[in-house]
Amino acid sequence: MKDHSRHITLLILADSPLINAQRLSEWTGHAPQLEIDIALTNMALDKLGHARLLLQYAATDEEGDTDEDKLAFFRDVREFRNWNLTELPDGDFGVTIVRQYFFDIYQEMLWKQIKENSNDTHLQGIAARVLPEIKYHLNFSDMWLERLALGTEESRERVLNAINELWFFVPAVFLNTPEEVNMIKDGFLPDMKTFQKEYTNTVRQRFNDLNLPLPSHPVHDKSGKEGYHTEHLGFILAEMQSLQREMPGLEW
Amino acid sequence: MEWKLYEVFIRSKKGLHHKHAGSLHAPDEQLALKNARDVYTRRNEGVSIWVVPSDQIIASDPGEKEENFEPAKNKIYRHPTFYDIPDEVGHM
Repeated sequence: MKDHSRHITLLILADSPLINAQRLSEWTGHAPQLEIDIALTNMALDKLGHARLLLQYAATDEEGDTDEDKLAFFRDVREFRNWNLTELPDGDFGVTIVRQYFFDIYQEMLWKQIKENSNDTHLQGIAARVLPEIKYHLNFSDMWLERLALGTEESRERVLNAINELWFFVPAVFLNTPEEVNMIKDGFLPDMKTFQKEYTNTVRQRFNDLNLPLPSHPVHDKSGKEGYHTEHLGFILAEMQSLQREMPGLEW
Repeated sequence: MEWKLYEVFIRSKKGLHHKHAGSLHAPDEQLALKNARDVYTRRNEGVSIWVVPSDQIIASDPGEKEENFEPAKNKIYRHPTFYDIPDEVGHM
């Protein structure tokens, strides 16, 4: 069962940047300013790059005929292991920025831990590649979060609404699935449960600086890492996978 | 939104000078720098980025090219090339 756990864990690591890339790419041509359009699409490409590294690694686990493309284009909703936060609609720019902020604070923590403490050298290699880009993305979201939170009344209201809607999906990501528990025991993956407090404190401190509240309402107990998703993922996959499913094996 | 126009100058890894890469709009200095990195270093990473608000650049008037930039080569009266240097002096 060890190899199966590693495969699922790699999908858990790969699917969030994959789905996030898909969502970010929806901004192409629609961002509020040209420079933001370029930044978001660049970010999407970076995230896709991260997903590819991990899907390539995951493909080496399974016997038989699989590769990164088959994993990306032929799995169904219940087989996807992305954090549900990443499949939520882009909404307005405020929603996207808050979503990216929540996502990248987590990503930075996760990949820093992998880089420093994983016993898998290949995964550590991936960490060395993705971490600088994640830091860049986080800097972007943080800069925009500050400007929107302290900007106009309207920008602040939109940020408050975004936080209210999105925080609901955040805490569950710290719950470990059975596969992750195995890989934590193996030293492959860090136990992110032990970092939940640090995450929440980091966010809370930053929000204090920006006069933003952290909601105290009940939160979801499913993260998506176990395969339970919102109604949105089906639509994302329908679009993302449509071409390959209609014409399997199609190449550029 | 009134976003200010900035000129972007980038020095590449192998270069010694910042070269003018183009311009962009941004609401403030920090984002101007960030946007410059996103817009102008997509394919080749530079090592140093300068952004300057366009209205801070004082530039020569292109219409006055002739007066300002006539090369000194054509002004032979400016060059000390009419002296005979005695042999005892040697090379100068």
